[in-house]
Amino acid sequence: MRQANSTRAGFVIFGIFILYAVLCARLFYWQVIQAQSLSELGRAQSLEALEIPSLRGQILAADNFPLAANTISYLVYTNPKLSRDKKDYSERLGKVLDVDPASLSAKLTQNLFWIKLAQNLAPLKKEEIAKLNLPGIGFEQQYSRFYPEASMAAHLIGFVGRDDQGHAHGYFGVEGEYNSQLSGRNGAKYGVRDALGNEILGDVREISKIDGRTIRLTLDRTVQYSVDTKLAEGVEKYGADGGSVIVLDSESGAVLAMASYPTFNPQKYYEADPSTYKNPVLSSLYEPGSTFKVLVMASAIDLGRVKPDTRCTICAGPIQMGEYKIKTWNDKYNPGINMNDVIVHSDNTGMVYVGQKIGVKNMVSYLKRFGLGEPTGIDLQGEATGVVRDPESWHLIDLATTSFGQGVSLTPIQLVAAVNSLANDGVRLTPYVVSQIVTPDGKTIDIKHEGGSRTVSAVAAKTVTSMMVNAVEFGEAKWTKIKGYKIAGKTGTAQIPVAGHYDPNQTVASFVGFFPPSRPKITMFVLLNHPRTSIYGSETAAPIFFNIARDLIKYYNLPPE
Amino acid sequence: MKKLVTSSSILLIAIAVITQGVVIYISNTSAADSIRATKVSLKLNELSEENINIESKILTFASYQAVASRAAVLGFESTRDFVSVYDPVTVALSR
Repeated sequence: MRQANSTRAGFVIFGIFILYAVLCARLFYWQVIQAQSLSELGRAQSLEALEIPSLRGQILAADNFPLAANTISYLVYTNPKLSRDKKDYSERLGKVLDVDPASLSAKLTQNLFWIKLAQNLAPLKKEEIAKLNLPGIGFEQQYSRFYPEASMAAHLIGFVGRDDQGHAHGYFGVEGEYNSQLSGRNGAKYGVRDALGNEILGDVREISKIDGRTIRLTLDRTVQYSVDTKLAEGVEKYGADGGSVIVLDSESGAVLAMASYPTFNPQKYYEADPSTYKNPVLSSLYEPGSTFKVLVMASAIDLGRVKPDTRCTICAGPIQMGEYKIKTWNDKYNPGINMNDVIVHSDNTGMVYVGQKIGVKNMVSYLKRFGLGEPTGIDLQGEATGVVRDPESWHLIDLATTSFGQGVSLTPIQLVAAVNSLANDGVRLTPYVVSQIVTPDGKTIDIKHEGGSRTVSAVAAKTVTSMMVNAVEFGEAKWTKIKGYKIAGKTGTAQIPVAGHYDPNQTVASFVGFFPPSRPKITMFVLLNHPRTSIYGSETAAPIFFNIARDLIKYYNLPPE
Repeated sequence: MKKLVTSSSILLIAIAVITQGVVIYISNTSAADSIRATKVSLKLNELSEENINIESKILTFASYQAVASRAAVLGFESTRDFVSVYDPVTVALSR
């Protein structure tokens, strides 16, 4: 009897032990193994998160006018289950949204409680839809990017699209380069709910949003407007495929205007051909042609190998170099032409003479000093660079063609920065577009820019400047020059390499210059791709240059010299 | 003793009633304040929204694109050439 009792007690104790063991195991499972997921589930049940979007910073022109701002737009949604007469519903809505009612009707047949009908709606459109009093319709307020000047300086400004996670993100230009400064940080609001899902009033936790910073550009809106309109007119008038213009402040390297055509409206970037998004001024390499001659001539003068009155000894006719024959642009030759006239008449044979005087090693050294083969360092996305080969890989023909700007490639911004060094007593400055960053609390941060590097001596720069003045006064573009005003400039007509040879009928026409020559204020470059009315820079790019220069002389009140 | 108990009870009941009254008054006041605060907050949002919309309209109308197209409609044209004075202009001739 006693033994039976002790066996029973043993069973009971064992049973209790098993129960405790099961309980401990279960507790270990919930408290340790499943702890994190359960805690997240609990938070998700009790907290309701609401994202507070930060306001993207503005992009201001130099006159503080916003070139990129924010506006309120609306997303319109509906609950399809509440629309009884789907045909009437979609017809009324389609009329206001300017959308095919059939596509709306298809959306309304979906077995969902929430569907997006349209987004980026203007306030007036929202009101129109609200007045329809359609069941299930709702609106969500959003901030969207707004570009008051539409396509003005579109390549320089860039646009705001969406990243992989659907968040606003800047692409190209300033929007892309300064995205982290402009975007700020989104905030969040957490409302606490009880076990039944009811909101607990007053218990709200918040992470504050940080609005984006405002970017102030060096861009002058008046100059930019003139450049935009004159370039568009010029491209149309001369039947070109496109073109670009850059205007720099000669003394600082600040970009006053930058335009390319064809362009796009950043607000409706998705309607444009994506190939137009890239800024050709920074990313398109081209052979500069005769505009490059001023850099080569400046190098030779700096080395002391030629002077303005030095006479060419090989300019009596075409120059044969192996299998290649180098001719002048008009096949007319000037025996004994001096260096000043080589620039004035854009004489290729004269430049071959200059190239030979410089030599390969020095040529490579000066190309690097002028910034070829490296980015200019401009504060914009997508800058490309050409390559400057080592002196060992150069042939005589390379030296000859480089001296008149063929067989060497660079971007328009590299060329204008290099030529600007001649306007700036031989000091090459880094071009820049952002002058200040303004924090949301109004603190202004000035952007410091480096001092620059020397390309040639001030004397060599002045000597070439006077040659460029003569090129405008007496060269091929003299017909379009501004009466009473001196401008230092040089035309360029570069042939385009196609499948291993140069196409004689397709050119890149350009004009580079600065003014007033005694104390330059403006350095400008105009480029036209494949002009059809004439292939020459003097008949296409030069008139655009002088048309813009007329506006700038008036705008800056530049006195005649 | 009985009197003390009675007066203490009355005092406690009175305190309870007064306290309850104060609670009701404070609750009503703060509830009204909360409604007012919500109204102010809604108004603030409404005005900020309106402000952004008005700013957008002003920027659109003040843009060079809009000004230029309006000027063209009205017949304004920019002068193509400019006048430069090369010699000093004589002024105050009578003196």
